[in-house]
Amino acid sequence: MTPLEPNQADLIRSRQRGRARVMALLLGAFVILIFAVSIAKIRAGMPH
Amino acid sequence: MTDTALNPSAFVSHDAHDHHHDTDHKPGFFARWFMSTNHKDIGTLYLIFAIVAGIIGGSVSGLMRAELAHPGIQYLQGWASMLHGGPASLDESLHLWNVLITAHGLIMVFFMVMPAMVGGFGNWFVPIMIGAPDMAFPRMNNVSFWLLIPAFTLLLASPFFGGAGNGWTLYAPLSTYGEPGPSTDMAILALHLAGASSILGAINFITTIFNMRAPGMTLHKMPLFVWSMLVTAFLLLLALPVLAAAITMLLTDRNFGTTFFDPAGGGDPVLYQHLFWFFGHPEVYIMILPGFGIVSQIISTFSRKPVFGYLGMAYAMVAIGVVGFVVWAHHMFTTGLSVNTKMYFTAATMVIAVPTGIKIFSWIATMWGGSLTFKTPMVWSIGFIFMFTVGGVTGVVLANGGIDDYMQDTYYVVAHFHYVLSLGAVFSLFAGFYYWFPKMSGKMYNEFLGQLHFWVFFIGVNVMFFPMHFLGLQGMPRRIPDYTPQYEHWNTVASVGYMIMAAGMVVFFVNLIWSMIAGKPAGDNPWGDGATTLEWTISSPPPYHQFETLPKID
Repeated sequence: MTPLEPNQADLIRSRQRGRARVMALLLGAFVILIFAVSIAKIRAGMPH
Repeated sequence: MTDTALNPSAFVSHDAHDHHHDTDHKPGFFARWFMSTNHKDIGTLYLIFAIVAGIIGGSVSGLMRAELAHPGIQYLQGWASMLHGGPASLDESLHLWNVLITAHGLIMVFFMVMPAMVGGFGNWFVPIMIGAPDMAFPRMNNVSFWLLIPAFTLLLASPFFGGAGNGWTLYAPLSTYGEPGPSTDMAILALHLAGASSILGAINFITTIFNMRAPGMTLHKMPLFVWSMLVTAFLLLLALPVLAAAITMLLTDRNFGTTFFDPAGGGDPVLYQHLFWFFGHPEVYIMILPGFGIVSQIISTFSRKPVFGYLGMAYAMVAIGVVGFVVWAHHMFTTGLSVNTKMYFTAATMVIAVPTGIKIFSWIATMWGGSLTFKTPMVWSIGFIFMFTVGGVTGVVLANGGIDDYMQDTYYVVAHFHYVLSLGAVFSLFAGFYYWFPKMSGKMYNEFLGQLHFWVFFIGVNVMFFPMHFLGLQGMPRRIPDYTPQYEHWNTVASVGYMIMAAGMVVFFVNLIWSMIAGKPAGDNPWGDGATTLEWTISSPPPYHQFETLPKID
């Protein structure tokens, strides 16, 4: 294991931050979708 | 695992010494512990929280075992009178029993095992093991932890408003129109908050593991503990929103006149069970998979060998996670499922034995021919394998829809899930605690007390839980405070087992205090050549900020 050059490390870090934000938003949207589907699907399945 | 034959020397000198003053600067007490964004401090907070919750949840089970030691109602009415501030009726004292079993289940699942496994060890070691300086979202990490405090407070306060006595499953209709008053609402809200905390944590872990790995740390080089946390985080992400939806509908049924689970309005109470167990069964794996990861690290370290079948071990966890989502109705065999449905869920449940068997045999194969040392973490891990296998075997028995018709709601089920969780998850927690305590604190625990703790605890829990198989086979139902005298013998034995286990816990706390005060310095790697993962390449305790300069895994 060897340490990276500082400018190389900064570049990697900024890429990681950008990707992390996108991924968190997608995962959050997925959670909301599952929550909504669980309720909406059941509501639709109930006799009126 | 990161069996990448790391050469730690270059890194240690760089990180732990050259930049010691920069990397080890800590904020003041309040900022550090109340506004922390540091993954190690948040991990420590989670572990302290889990220990406190474990003491409370364990004490509740002590009350239950005291009441169950002999037939008849012995203490319940007195306790109910204390809680009500006046004489309590028999009905009120029986309700208190329901409150106790509910509290024990909810506390141990949501406030002890999950915070310790995921929040505690996950926070502490996932970033270090992948060569990251911290979690991807440190502030969100802080929010995750602090959501647990109001959640736990709500749950603990609920008995003073009547008490939620629905069982940890919160089945409708008992939890809808069966139990008015604010207590059940408080318990539901507590679960909402704890669930939100876990969802935020899961998003954080997935993002961290996918994005924050050091260059060269490919997915197939990750330690198995990190793999276990990745699979667990996905299970949390998929299962918890379903629980949140189910208990939101409970809340609206209770308070806003909806009838999701009320047949009078076109709803269906069994639907709640489907939703709950779609969460509930993966929850079992959420509690045990991190334990698999911990045990894999320990077995490898103390066998001085890379773990046998690394890829098989990693993908067995993935398989357990996937199959774990399609077996939920084996918890509902007596709700009137069709025979075909029962056949499917029986078969699907048995399939889980395959990846689980891969793991058990791979642990044994890792030890086979290894240079074994039986330090405390190793004996807890071997204890875990043995106990978890016993729980797994009774799980295969209960997986049969036909047999389950007889066993459902008996003490056989109680014995089964306590072997898997109380002896499985908890043994792996203790294994992980002893394994990583030197790294977290910088001090060695007392080996004699650690071994003594193991043996007393091991004997205690087996004396407590093994007779429950006999009680279940004799037909003793669960969730009752009183029983016919024919069940007395094994109940008395089980209560003696609780006392032995409690003595083991006293040894644990003595060891903990002794080690914090007088423990010998641990050194960077107290376990020697077998410990190859990244946490053993940095100082003990690690610097406040590790890996500020990105490492590259060669």
